[in-house]
Amino acid sequence: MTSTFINRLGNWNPQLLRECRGRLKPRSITAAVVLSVIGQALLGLWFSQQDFEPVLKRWANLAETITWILPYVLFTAGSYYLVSDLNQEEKRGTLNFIRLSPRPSRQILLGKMLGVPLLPYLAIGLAIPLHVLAGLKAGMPLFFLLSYYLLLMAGGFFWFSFAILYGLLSSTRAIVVGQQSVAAVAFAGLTLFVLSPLYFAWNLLVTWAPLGFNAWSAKWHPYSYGSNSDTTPVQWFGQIINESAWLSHGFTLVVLAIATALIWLMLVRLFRNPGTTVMSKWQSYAIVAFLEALVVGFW
Amino acid sequence: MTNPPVIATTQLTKQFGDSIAVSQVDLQVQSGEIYGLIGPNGAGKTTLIRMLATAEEPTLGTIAIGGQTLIQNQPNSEVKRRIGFLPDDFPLYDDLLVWDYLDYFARLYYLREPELNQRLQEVLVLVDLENKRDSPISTLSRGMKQRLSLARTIIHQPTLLLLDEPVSGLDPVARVQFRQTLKTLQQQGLTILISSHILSDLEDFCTSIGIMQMGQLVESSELRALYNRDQTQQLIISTVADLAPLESFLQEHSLVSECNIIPDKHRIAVTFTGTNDDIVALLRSLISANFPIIDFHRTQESLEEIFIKMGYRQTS
Repeated sequence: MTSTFINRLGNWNPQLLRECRGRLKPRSITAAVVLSVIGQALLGLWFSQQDFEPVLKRWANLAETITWILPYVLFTAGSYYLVSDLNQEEKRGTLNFIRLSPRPSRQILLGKMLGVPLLPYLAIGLAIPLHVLAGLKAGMPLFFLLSYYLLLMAGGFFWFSFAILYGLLSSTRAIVVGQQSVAAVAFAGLTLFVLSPLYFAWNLLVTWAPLGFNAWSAKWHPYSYGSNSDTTPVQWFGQIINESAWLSHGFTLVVLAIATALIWLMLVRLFRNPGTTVMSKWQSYAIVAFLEALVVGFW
Repeated sequence: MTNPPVIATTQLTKQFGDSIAVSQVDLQVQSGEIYGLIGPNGAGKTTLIRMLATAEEPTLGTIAIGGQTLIQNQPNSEVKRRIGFLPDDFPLYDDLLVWDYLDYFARLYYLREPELNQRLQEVLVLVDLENKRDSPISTLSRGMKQRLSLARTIIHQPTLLLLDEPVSGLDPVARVQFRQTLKTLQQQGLTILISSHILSDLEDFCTSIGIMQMGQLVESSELRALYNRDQTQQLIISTVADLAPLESFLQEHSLVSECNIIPDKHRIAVTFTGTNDDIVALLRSLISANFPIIDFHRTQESLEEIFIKMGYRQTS
């Protein structure tokens, strides 16, 4: 049965199977599992020693802490792995062989996105049960949990697409020797200090606002970001987008989908021919139009 | 109806900034040929091969592989399936096992079980790595890695092999093994274009030769035609008698342009311009003149000598 699964996986996406075979070695799996379990155990231990009243507050704090940790770890570690992997492939010259295969570029890049950060995925996946359990125990809104994981996937897909684009650009356009090696660290730093805080800021203000997350959080932390359970209205072309869950999620997901699609147009172009410009003329028009519409709407 | 050439380029040109790496190359390679590409460093061989392998887009000109023209900025998937490309540095994935590495590339070329396993096995036998199938690539020797790269190049049964300096850095034994494998592949019907600086290797198995110089293909012909182009040849004549009368006799012959006594004092090297019939006539005349000839043979100019005689210019 395992061999049938491997065979099917390999037929569907050989790149993903290659990443699984190269990365899922006993030692790496053990390291990821141990790190995740130790992290969770330390969190649990720390919260169990705090004097929370009522006891439910302990679960709430644990759930909220994990809520914050997971995107930071996923986006930072995942993007580091992707940029570093592409730089190494380009440096070794192996990326050329993949380019020369008749498989579509989209399939290969998707295989990279799903396969290269396998170990962070594993470590985060192992933390999901504790997060959901703690959240449900503390009365975290169920729709918030669903939205949380949906946005984690959508945000990850967008940011990892961007990481691959950056990886391809930094590996083929390195100006000085050694620039490639710092590219992954620089991008991870950008993710950690800019992207992840922005991700939370946007979701707290817009996407999760109608789901009662802020009100739930305010119950446990009267003086934190959630202390004001009233939502500040965010308008886009006069329409308040954070008053209904459908609208806030629709807006966020559509923007992410368009941005991701535009990045993929560049990715496919650049992957097929690394010497070419990042975008074609009409792609540049589309990107400018998208960004202008997005920004002007908030004016 | 005749089959189209496996490779046909027209006015193929590649420019990097201000520098022209390949200039107006018209190349034709027929099915089943082993075409050797030679030339000094910087002559444009690698760029030409990379363009044929679809790894580089031409600035100008066209490439047709098996009659199908490559279209710029398109995936050219059908053409890619026909090509196997081995660059000079043969990079590999050290984190994979030999079998997994070949399995990965076979799947990239849409091979599926059960043919997949059968093909992997065949290729491992061909490159003599069947006992290394479960070894990590990082543990292989350079020669083995090179053979594994060749296996990767042919895993999808291409009709055209493009090999760029495949034997550079290999020891003599590995080179001999590699030559044998190439001959086997040619017998299987593959067309091979190979560039190398080791001209004696190319001489051993190439059917045609192209010479590149400063981005241009200055010569392209069958190897035999290249050898026979210049009718000047060298004859070695040995005698048990004194060499002086023989030397005088030869110097009077109208087709002999030069005579040199070889240091061992028993042989004379003669530079002779003439056909095979003229050589026969010369031998007859020597016997008629009662020279005690014990050896009379013709030496062929090596590819290296022909190449050097053509006066290539170093471009790098």
